[in-house]
Amino acid sequence: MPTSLSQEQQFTHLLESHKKLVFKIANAYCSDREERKDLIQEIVLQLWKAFPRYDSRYAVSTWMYRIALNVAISYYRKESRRKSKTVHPKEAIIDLAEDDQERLAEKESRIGQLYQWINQLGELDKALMILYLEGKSHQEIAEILGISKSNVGTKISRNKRKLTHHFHNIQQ
Amino acid sequence: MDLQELIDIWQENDEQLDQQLSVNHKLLKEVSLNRVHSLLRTFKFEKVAEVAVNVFFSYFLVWFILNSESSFRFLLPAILLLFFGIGDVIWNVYQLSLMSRISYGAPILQAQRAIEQLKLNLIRERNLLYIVIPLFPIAFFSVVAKAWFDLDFLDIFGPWMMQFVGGSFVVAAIIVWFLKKFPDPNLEKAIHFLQEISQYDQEDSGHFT
Repeated sequence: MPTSLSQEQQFTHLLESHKKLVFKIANAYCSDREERKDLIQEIVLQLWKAFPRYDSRYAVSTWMYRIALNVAISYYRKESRRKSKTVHPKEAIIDLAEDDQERLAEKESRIGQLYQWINQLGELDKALMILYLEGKSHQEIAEILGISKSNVGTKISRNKRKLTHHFHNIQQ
Repeated sequence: MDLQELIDIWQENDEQLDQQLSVNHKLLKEVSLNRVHSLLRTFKFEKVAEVAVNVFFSYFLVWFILNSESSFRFLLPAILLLFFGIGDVIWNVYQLSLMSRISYGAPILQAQRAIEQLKLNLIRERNLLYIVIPLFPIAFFSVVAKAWFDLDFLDIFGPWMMQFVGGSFVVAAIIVWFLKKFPDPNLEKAIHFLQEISQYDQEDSGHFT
């Protein structure tokens, strides 16, 4: 990122180029659109807060995945606070158009089915499978999650079996 | 549907998202960038203040125990308070160390473990306070009244205080029973998630074939 830009401009640029990452994680942890707006706002806020301390030893995407996933898991686990919150932001910082929104929520669509399956996974497996679907290597996934590379392989194999079983049941 | 097909669906959707997603720059500027506050920082400040107060109070209690020529009935509550005070300092220092380990930029398992340990610790602290609070006032007021005003509370309110102490033990016993019978669901959730994290961390290729 060019150093002549202000920190705010650099961050906006970063968010623009990684908006998909934030949206996909928020969508995997929050299927409700209103709650998702909230979660996206929280992820962006935490990214902004951590931005001045970004550790350049890690790739930007590794840093962003860690923050976004940690915020999403914590948000997901604060169930009582989430449910009691009746006022959500009117607009979302990152959002889809209305038609695209419906398509994504459509349970019969292929992507809808995939998100439905991801939704059934536990918080940690969900993070693992998002990273796997994103095409991250076992090494990168291990760095983001903080587990060994061999452990990543084991867990992916286990989730593959769950997945086969899940879609086999749907087809029947 | 096999895994490769799912990866294809994910990537196909990824390409579409590029066109479909938009960043609301106005909202980004208005809401997020100007609203940076940290609950954790406030919480840390409260904990540091609590440690400072307790260190000061413990120092006062040690002075009271060593220098007063009080009878055993004043030394006992003073020792009890000192025990609470030192315990509280240790507990808060541990919580501060947990807080310092919480960073969203850390690997997921490390950050989530620290968050859950802190949550668990705060719930346990609250439960412990339910038990300690009924026992605390008598010890506190009798020591403070003796040290600062040379008043013997036990002499003035003796029978009433004894009843209060007895009642406090009964209340504490009821609270313990209640907490065991109806444990806080958040406590159980935190314990369960911590177990899940440990299990997730420990599994290796040998366990799942």
